[in-house]
Amino acid sequence: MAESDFGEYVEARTGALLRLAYLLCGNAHTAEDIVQEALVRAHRRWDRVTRAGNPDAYVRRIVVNQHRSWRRRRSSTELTVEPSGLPPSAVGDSQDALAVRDLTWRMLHELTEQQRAVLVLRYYEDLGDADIAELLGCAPGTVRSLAARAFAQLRRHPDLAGYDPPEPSTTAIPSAQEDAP
Amino acid sequence: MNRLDELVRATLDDRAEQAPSPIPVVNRVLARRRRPTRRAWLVASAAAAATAAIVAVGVTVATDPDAGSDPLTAAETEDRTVTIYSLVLERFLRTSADWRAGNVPDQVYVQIRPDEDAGWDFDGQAAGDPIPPDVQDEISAELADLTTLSWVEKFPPSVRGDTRETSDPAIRLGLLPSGDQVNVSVSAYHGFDNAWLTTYVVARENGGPWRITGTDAPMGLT
Repeated sequence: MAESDFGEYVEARTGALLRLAYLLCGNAHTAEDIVQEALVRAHRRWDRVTRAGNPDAYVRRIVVNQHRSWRRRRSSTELTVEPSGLPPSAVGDSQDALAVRDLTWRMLHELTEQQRAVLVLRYYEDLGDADIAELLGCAPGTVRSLAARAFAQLRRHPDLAGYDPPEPSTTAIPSAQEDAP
Repeated sequence: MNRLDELVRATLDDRAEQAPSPIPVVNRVLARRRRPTRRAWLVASAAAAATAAIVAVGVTVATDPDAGSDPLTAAETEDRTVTIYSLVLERFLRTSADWRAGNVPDQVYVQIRPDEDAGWDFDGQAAGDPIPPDVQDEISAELADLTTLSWVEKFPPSVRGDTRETSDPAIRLGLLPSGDQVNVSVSAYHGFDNAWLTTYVVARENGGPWRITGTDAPMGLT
């Protein structure tokens, strides 16, 4: 096993993995647990991971799977999103803009885990639908369907209803056949 | 900003700044990596035990010329269990019925006790000896890029749904016999009308790697 490669990977990528895990789960401590477990698992089979040529894709998939598993272990009534303050980068924005982003953050965590995962992977990780589908183990049509339903859910909130939906080409609800599991 | 996707992107970018610092996680992962793993410790222990055994065998042979062949060490038994169960679970998950082609469930319950009746009785507790927690962890790690295995003594009620959509998927493993060619059953339940059973033949030659060489019967479906 190339131990030095693994060490370099951990030092270079843990920050990005933590950001992904945090956006998925909304809790800093849980994000740390998820990423630590993902990296430990990756280390156990690092030879195979590196032979496959894309360690990031492998570890990212474990992070998403770990998050799903974590979600299932929690009661649906448990508060999972940290009621944190305003984001540091938002200093200088108007109070309205801050408030609407705060609302959006809370609404994102009322989506289903798959809907939220699709939005995080698409709009934060900038992955294409095919890559997201492979990562989530579903069809690209299902990814588009999940995104469309996520946006529809967000727009049900009165304060978000006035926002325009995304371009239809990226969120079209696929046919029933394409969407079938 | 009038579009909802732009708002979502801006929100995620802002919130990502609040993610925890990577330093504690990096330190913990790298520290854990430097410690000898349980398996490495077992191998080292087994090597020491083997050295002791050689001495002991020398004494034993002198007094007992009919002494039998060496059994597997604890580490060898653990590795064998992890390898064979991982092979059959991965093959099953990737190729069985509606779980193939990317539709592998993201979480699957697995009973910690293998059972000779694997497949047809999902109620209650299986009869075999439990798979040790460390071995469960190793098997879970082997399958980590495919699904999350949740090891349970007894399946939860959510496994007993009427349909695939209302049931959590569950697997019961068959017993793992000794020898260099073994038949291992693995079966799944995913809704009242979705149960599958098959038995894989797993073998190795001359101490080489374990491979699945086939099945001993067609896959059973209900």
